[in-house]
Amino acid sequence: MKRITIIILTCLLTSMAAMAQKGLNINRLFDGRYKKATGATEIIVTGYQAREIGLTVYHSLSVTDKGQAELVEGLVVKDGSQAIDKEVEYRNGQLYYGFYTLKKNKGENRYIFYLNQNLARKSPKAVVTLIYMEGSANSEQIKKLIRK
Amino acid sequence: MKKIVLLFATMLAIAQAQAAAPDTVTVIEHPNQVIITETPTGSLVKVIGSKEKDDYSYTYTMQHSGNDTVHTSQSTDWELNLPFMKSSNKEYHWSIVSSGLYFGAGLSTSYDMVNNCFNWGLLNIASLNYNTLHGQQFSIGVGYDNQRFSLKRPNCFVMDEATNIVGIDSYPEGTVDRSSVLSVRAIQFPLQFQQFIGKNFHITLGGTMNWNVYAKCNTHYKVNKTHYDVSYRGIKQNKLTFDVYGALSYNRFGIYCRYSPCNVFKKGYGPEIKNTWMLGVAIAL
Repeated sequence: MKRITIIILTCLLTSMAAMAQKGLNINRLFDGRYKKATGATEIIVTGYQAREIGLTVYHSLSVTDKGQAELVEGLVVKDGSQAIDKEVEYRNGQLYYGFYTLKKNKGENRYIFYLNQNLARKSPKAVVTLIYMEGSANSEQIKKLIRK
Repeated sequence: MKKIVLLFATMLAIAQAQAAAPDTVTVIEHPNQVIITETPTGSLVKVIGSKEKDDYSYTYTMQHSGNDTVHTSQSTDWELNLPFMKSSNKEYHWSIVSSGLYFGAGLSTSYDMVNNCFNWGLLNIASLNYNTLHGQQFSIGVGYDNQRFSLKRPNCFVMDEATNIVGIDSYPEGTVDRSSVLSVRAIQFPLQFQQFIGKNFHITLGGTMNWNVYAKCNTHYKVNKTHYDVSYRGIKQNKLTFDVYGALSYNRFGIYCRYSPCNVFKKGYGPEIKNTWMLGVAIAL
């Protein structure tokens, strides 16, 4: 019974997050393909914990496979072209980081953050991170949240 | 947006350096992408996509003369903090754990009638640990210890029930299947120090205070197909004893050595069994 409840809750959370991302290219990455993949970490947070930091949806994906990094970057850049505000940095012809503010959805701010730590100067790591966030938090609050 | 402002600020600065009035080169509303590249001979600004046209492209080249010095300021790395990510590597100073299951065997150097000793227990049913995060850990805890001393044949434990004094006697004539064992159970309070060496090894040094809550002598033998099992309770053991120990562990497994200098019995209530050495294996110490 406990297992069934957990499965139902997981499906509900995933579908809620998916609805919020509807129409975005990165939605393809959140279709569950990385849930059991080695070297990938996917986190979906909604509800109380998300609201605590001014969000309604927090969806992150970290992948260590270099091949996947190209796919993630491509989709992020596509969605980024529709952003109303963006902050990007390219290194060696590749997107190092991108912080995109998307059009509001039902009055909620929406953000995409991308970081390729392979391109870090100090201590590169084979990790590409993508975060989709939705909520009342403004871009400065979001940056504060995801930056040490 | 900030990038665009910076870009044009840079361009203006270059223009000023050439002692000319600042001229606007071009204004591109909402570009999709701005790429600035640099070569030893000059800088290149490439703008891709605009508000009106996705396939818009604009390139601006600035050549440096031979004496020019190019100053570049590179942005720092983005130190990512992933919310909700539980870091498996995160370490804490304080922790409460259960640790140190051990089994050992040994001998008492003070009393040659003791054949062998066995020892097992859980060093820390619960312990409070302080980790310096620099390779050392201190802990204080509470655990359980059990010791068994068996006598060399043909000797066996006997007890005068009037005085509760334990002595040594011989088995009756014609006995077989003989054993005589003294067992002591204790609640122990270990205080220990651990030094980690590399990722896998650690050395443990410590001492325990034992509160010997229970002791029993059990003598078992068989005569003419009749089994005799004699137990003596009410033994006057030393209630408090102290041990020291050391261990060397690799990952979760280790070997330990434990020394008990204290006499098992209260003075005058039994043979002097002390200076006991135990050697054994320990898990998760």
